[in-house]
Formats: sequence, C-alpha cells, structure tokens
Amino acid sequence: MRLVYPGAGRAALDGVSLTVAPGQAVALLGPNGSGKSTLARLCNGLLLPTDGRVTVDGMDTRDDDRVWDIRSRVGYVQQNPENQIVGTVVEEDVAFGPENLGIPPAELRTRVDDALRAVGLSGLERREPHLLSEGQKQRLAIAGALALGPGYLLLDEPFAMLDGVGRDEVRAVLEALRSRGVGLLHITHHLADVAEADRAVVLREGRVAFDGTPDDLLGSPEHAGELGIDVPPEARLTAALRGRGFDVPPGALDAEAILDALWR
Amino acid sequence: MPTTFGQYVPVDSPVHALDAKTKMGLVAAFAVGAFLVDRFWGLVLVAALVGGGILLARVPLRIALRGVKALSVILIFTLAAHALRWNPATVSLVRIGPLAVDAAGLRDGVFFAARIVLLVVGTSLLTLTTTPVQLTDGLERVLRPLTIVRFPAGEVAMMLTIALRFIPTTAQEAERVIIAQTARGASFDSGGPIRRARAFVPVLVPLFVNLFKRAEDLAVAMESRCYRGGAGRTRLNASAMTPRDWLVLCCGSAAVMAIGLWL
Ligand SMILES: Nc1ncnc2c1ncn2[C@@H]1O[C@H](COP(=O)(O)OP(=O)(O)O)[C@@H](O)[C@H]1O
Ligand SMILES: [Mg+2]
Repeated sequence: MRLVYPGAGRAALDGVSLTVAPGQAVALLGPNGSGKSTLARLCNGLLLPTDGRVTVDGMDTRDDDRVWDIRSRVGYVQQNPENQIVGTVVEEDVAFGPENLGIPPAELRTRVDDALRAVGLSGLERREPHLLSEGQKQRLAIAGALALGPGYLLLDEPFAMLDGVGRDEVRAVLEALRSRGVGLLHITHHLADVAEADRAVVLREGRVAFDGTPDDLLGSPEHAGELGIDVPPEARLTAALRGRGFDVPPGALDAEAILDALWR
Repeated sequence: MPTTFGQYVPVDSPVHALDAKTKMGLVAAFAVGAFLVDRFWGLVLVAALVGGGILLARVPLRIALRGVKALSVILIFTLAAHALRWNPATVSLVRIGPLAVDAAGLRDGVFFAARIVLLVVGTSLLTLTTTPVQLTDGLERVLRPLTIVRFPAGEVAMMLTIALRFIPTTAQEAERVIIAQTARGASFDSGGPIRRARAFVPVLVPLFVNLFKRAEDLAVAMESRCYRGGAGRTRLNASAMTPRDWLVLCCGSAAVMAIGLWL
C-alpha cells in the first residue's frame, strides 16, 4: 500500500503492508516524519491510500457506505489528550461519538457508563475536562473512542505528554482492553511498550524497515541501532534468556529487573 | 457544577431549575412586554416582576445589578436627551444660561432610563441562572426550525460548545505563558497602555500557534468519532421541557405581554 500526500514529491508511505488481529498489540516505531501517523490515519479512513487497499473487518476504507462503520470499529487516540476532548463535561465528551451516530439517549447513557468504567473514570461524569490530570484526560480520550464500540484502537504516541503516573494509568487501561480482545496499533518511542507488544514494526522514510517479534528487535541492539532505535545492551541479555526458556518478562530492560526476574 | 467563567451564579433555585428554552422564551416575551409599557403603573409592575424574579432566583442583588454600571453612559445620555432644552420658550424647572431642564422631559427621561435598567436586569437573569452549556443546547433547539431555510443551527451550537470547551484551556495556557514570560523579565503592568499592549505580543503569538495546532487535532478527533454535521445527532442530556416549564412559560409570557399592552 502506498500513499502520496497531494503536492508532495515523495510518497509518505510506500510498499507498506500490515495486519492487526483482534487482541493483538502491534508496536509501531520510527523517527519523526517516517509516516507513523499517516499509517494510523489510513487505518480508520481519515486518509485513503493512493495505491493499494486498507480493509477493516473486511470493509474497504474506500467504500463510502462503510465510513461510519469503519470509524466506529477503529478508534483513534492522539498524542495530546487536551486537543481531542470535545465535550464541556466528561460524560458529554464520551457521548460525542455515539451521539453523532444518532444512538437513542437511553443507550447513550449505558455506553457512556460502560466506557467510563472501562477506563476507571466512573464518578467524574460531570467534571470539566480542563480540571482533569493529563493521565485522566488521555483515559477520557480512550473512553470517547470506546463508546463507539471499537474492535481496534490506533494509539498515536498516547504517552508522549504524560508523566510516569499518567503513563502507568493509561498502560493498565490498554492492557485490560487488549485482554478483552481489542487490537492495538501502538505508536511509541518507549521500549517497554515495544517489549510488551506481540509484534514490532519499524518505519523509515515511509517504508517498513523491520517487522518481527519484539525479542528479535530488542535482542540485537546493533541491528536496532541501525534502524535508529536506541536499545540498551541489557536487552540482548533479556532476549537471550527468554530464548533459553527463562521466565524473564520482555520488558525487563535493565540489570535490576533481569536479576529480579531470575531470583523469582 | 463549578464554572470558572461567565456570569452564572451556581445556587439551587426554582428559576435555575427551569429549562433554558423556557427562560429564553420568557426573556423574549419580557423584553417585548417591557418595551411596550408606556405608563408609570406598568413600569411599577415590571419592576415588581424583576424584583420577584431576582428573589426567586436567589441571585444576590449586587450581582443582579452589576450590569447596570456598564449602562451609566447610556442612562445619562437618555436622561439628558429628554430633560435638557436649549433656550426654551416656556418656563423650565432649572435654567443655567441657555441650558434648561424641562419638567415633562425629565419625567420622560426617568421613565425611559428606568425601563432600560429593568430590561437589562430582567434579561440578565437568564445568563445568571443558566450555564453556558445549557444556553447553547437551548439555543440549538430554539434555532432548529431555521434549518428549513438552511441555517446551520447544529453547527452553530457545536461551534459555541467548542468555544466554551476551550476557553478555560486557553485561559490556563495564557496564564502559563504569562508566568513564563514574567520569569524571563517581561512586565505586563508597567508603562503606558501601548507599552502594556506590546508586552502581550509574546504571549499571544505562542497562544495562537497552539490554537491552530489544537484546531487541527480537534478536527481529526471529531472526524474519527464520526462527526458529520448537526443532522441526525442525538444528545445524551437532551433537556426536555416539563409541564411545569410550559405552565411557567405560558403564564409568564401572557402576564408580561398583558402588562405591556394595557399599561
Ligand atoms: N497533511 C499532510 N500533507 C502533506 N504532507 C504531510 C501531511 N502530514 C504529514 N506529511 C508528511 O508525511 C510524512 C510522514 O508524516 P507523519 O505520518 O506525520 O510522520 P510521523 O507520525 O512518523 O512523525 C512527513 O514527511 C510529513 O511531512
Ligand atoms: Mg506522528
């Protein structure tokens, strides 16, 4: 699949092929301008490919009749939580998506309640968004996508604006969604997220430069370095240990974490 | 509900509990009624209505009258235009050189000035007892019939909602930038007006750059969440008028119109 922005000389994406299965987490990496956001926006039909096809559960994003089905199936969460909140209070923001689909008010209420529960924001229904912490705002943005009942979430650097606490909150929510069968395409610079994913894809200048398991990527720091990804040398040890059947979590990327895992 | 801007007075009262559309209808009827009043007793009744409204709404008198101060120029002008005569032939109340105060004119001036005050105080009860969000939703419903002539009522309401949503955010951001600039030695409260205005340029530039970025992100977010204009949207908190609302609206409008027409 290829995409050329109108008026641009070079294709923003070229020869890219990618599948995300339900319940699968795919980490998408790459330097700035490599086409990560472009790829995400192709997946929910915000952009249409110049050549090739993008399908969601069998629906082609070019099919005008399925646009709203596709956007409901594929949620999009952006980097800056503040800028994607539309409602003046929490519950109205969550309701925004289903309201657009014309869902009757009684069902809107259950959808809002379910989505807020899924991200742990129950009780803050009437809170104004600007009074939330950054982590809460990002969870609100996720709830806004969940209210549409998506099977997949596109996460465009959702942790970039968050502090450690906010990151942990959001990470827990995403982990829970994944175990409920939601497929995640997670654009990130954090190796811990890559390690937890089922698959890692690296983009460079609009082309897929790596596509494989996180262990393969993190296990060879030299190779990752060539791809522009800074992997600590300990990652190789983790990968080697995992390869020999030791119970070391893939996210253990420093000596302390590895030792902890081995002691247990 | 905490509201950090606007005029809304957050207390519980029977007036606050009315639907925004009811209050909008009442205010419209009140404005027409008060305009039609041309007798002293009519004005007294209108004043009684406004006073009763303030009491019912449990809005402090000081806040209810806040809008009057902004009117002082208009009030003085109204009084002067009616009361002052230049070199009149008839006998006047007071005379300073060629300038004279006319008794009948003064009475008219006081009447018209009082009517303006009552109009402003009465209509401000709407914004004092209704949150901006309720107002916007009410406005959308009231404007909806105009969609027949292609007036984009839903879109206008959406624009207002987004403005309301981002005012506090932008205010927070402005505060942050001002603090940052102050820390770097900028001064916002010294020097003449031009100098002070100039001091705000380094605040406004980053603010606007950010606003454009926000607008772009927001458009993507809205499209991703299936926004396709106002048509066919439902509302989570669609406010509905209760029988009580209809009763208040009908009786209230009838009363003010009757006062206006007969007095
Ligand atoms: N709306 C657009 N119009 C034209 N070019 C764009 C547009 N958005 C992004 N690009 C270009 O496409 C390339 C990929 O951008 P993007 O997908 O945002 O990268 P990333 O998210 O990996 O930083 C960049 O060269 C960028 O300049
Ligand atoms: Mg990007």
